[in-house]
Amino acid sequence: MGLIIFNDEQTLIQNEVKKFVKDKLSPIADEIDKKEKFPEEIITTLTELGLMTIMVPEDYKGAGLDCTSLCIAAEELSKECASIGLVMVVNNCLVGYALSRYGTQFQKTQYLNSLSDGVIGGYGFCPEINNPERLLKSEKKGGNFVLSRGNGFILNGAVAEFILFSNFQEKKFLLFPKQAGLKLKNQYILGMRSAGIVRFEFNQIEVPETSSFSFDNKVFDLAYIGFSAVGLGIARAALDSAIKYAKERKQFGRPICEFPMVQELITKMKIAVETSRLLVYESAKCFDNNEDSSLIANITRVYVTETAVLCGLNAIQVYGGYGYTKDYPVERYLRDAKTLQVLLGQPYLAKSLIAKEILL
Amino acid sequence: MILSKRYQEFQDWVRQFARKEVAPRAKELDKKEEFPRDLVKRMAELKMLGIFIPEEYGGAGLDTLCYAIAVEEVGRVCGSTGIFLAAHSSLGVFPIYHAGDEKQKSRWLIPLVKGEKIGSFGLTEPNAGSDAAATRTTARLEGDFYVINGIKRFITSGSIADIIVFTATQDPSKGHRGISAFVVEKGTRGFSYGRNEDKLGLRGSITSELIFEDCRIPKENLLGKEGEGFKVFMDTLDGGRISIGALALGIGEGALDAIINFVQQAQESGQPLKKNQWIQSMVAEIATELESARLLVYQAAQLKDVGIPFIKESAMAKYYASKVGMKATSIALEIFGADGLTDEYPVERFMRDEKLMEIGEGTSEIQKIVIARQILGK
Ligand SMILES: Cc1cc2nc3c(=O)[nH]c(=O)nc-3n(C[C@H](O)[C@H](O)[C@H](O)COP(=O)(O)OP(=O)(O)OC[C@H]3O[C@@H](n4cnc5c(N)ncnc54)[C@H](O)[C@@H]3O)c2cc1C
Repeated sequence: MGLIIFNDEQTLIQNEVKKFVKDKLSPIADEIDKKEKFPEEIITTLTELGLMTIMVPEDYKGAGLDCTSLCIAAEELSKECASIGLVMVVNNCLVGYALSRYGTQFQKTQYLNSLSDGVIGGYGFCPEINNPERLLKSEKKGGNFVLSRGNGFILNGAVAEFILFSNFQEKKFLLFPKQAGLKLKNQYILGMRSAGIVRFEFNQIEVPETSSFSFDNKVFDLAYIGFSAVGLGIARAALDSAIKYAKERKQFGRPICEFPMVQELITKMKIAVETSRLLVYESAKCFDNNEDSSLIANITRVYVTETAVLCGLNAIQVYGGYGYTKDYPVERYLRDAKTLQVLLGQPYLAKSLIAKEILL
Repeated sequence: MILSKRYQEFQDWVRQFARKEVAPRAKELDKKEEFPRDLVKRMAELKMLGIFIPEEYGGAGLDTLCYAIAVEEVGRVCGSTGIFLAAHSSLGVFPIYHAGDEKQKSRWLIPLVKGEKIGSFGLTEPNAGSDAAATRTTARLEGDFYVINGIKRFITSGSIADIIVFTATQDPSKGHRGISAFVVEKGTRGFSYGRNEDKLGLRGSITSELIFEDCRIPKENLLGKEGEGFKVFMDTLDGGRISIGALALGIGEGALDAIINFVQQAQESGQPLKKNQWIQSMVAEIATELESARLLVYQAAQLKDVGIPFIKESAMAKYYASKVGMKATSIALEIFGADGLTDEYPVERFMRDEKLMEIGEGTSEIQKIVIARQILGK
């Protein structure tokens, strides 16, 4: 494919991540998934490789690379283990980038700097559509904010030492270390079960006013592109599995890949995966060129996460009864893909943003 | 479709049962991978385990349409209980009723219908899935016994079943004409279980491997005639597809019920969510598709009841209901967002359960082949 051209640095990253995945991650990826626990050791290695701070500026001890590099790393990691890809994307986009773009000097020195030492940051949000009773509620009291209400999810929450909470109504982040009054709860969720996603509830927390800072869409453009790269990795993994299995499995005396209905399942996946790749790297390039990327980021997010879901479903279908069991990874691809698709907001919300940009 | 009063009453009755007694157990069954013995007992008391079986055999003496409605309503709250009901009735009870002689019926059918025994159906093998005629399990006649050797895979309720109908071949070179149907009872020497599958969904249902090692079963356990086993199984599956269609429909409707509940209560930026056209569009689409699926399922059931060929219609019902059901459960998560991923709502469970409906008792691809052959000719 000629449209996606990586520069030398990006190619180097790609080779490095591929090598890491092959040597270190592949042998234990299955185990990580079965345990459904946050894989602290692997994340430590990712920190050492600089991947957890791939986009953090060099001034703050990060690798100072671009969104394209982030996507390359996220795609390759997620092909093996989407939970790990997600943890890395959250740390880079919703924590690292948010801090470096909007944070105060103090916050940068205190928090951004610590990421390269292996500190993990979390991202907290209350789902937008909801019982209003659950949305974030904060009041000023003296020089402090009092958080009396809020109930949602924290990405990377199981191990995060500090958390950025987004308050969409006011377009503000609140940043503070884990502390009393912040109730965390492990809760079952469908997929991304090793990514350390937890539930939270506020119960009268006081944080200094200086912990609040404004944000704009750019951080979410980046997050959506990063999430899409994770989706691309899942979709490719599902496609590769389906191709391999279809060539091996025989029914009616021949490999099932010879049946046009199986071919249809797999060609649909292939077409969507190739299109997704173009979208992911096109939007990453827009972002890196400092162009307005919110339209393309939303388009990419809708299409690529839908592709990941399609690939998960079709891969299970190709595997038949075997795909329905945990003996093969395809059922996990579906769970991870569906989780990714809705975690940061309903797809129709993204579509309505697209509509707004092109129509209104 | 307008159901006559009799069916409406049955529907109300079974819906009450499902909501009152099955629904409260659904989450737990999934979580704990627990087989619902208590519900099996209740369904037996209510004569739900032989809905279409005449009263003389202990059944409810109703018909396929009532049965489909029952599977639908149970599936609407719990896929695992639904698949048990469908497998026990269509795959355990039906072939014995259909192909068994009177002695076999009194020995096996009656206890199955009364729920004293659990039934199961062993067709699939590691290398005979869609190609069910590729059965490698063998039966060799030795005096008054058949000696069985082979392995069955993915058998619903297998390791807890008391009475298992299965296929074996007496001559693999004869293809499907070499296949006969037999019954094996739990505890027979040489008959054992492999492990149970760890699955994406239907986690309250048991799916097992069955192992036959020089297992000797009495000659009287042959179901139908030698060499006619494949036909017994094809007849069984034609009917079974109606129940999987009904289950797929039920699970999809369960997702729609959850969506309606959620949307009616949720707010978005201070506006009732139900006024949002994005939501209206999705809800209207899946509601319409599920309604069409219901027509197909009920139609197939009615054809079977009046004795008109229903092969095409039952394949269509299963194919379409599982397809739109899968879409409905998937869209449910897109409406719920992150909250729907948790077990506070049933929608992620519905999605996991629903995927099997596109695979079990003939994959969607196999259904399409069946439909196309009926339409285009062989
Ligand atoms: C939870 C569960 C419960 C089950 N319960 C039972 C049970 O109680 N009893 C029982 O006997 N079985 C049962 N099964 C087995 C089920 O019926 C089979 O899994 C199913 O028939 C498919 O067979 P397979 O898994 O071997 O897939 P395969 O046949 O290997 O199919 C793999 C893929 O190839 C496609 N394919 C195969 N042949 C063709 C073709 N000719 N043309 C086009 N595409 C083709 C299929 O559609 C599928 O996409 C159960 C399975 C599960 C997962």
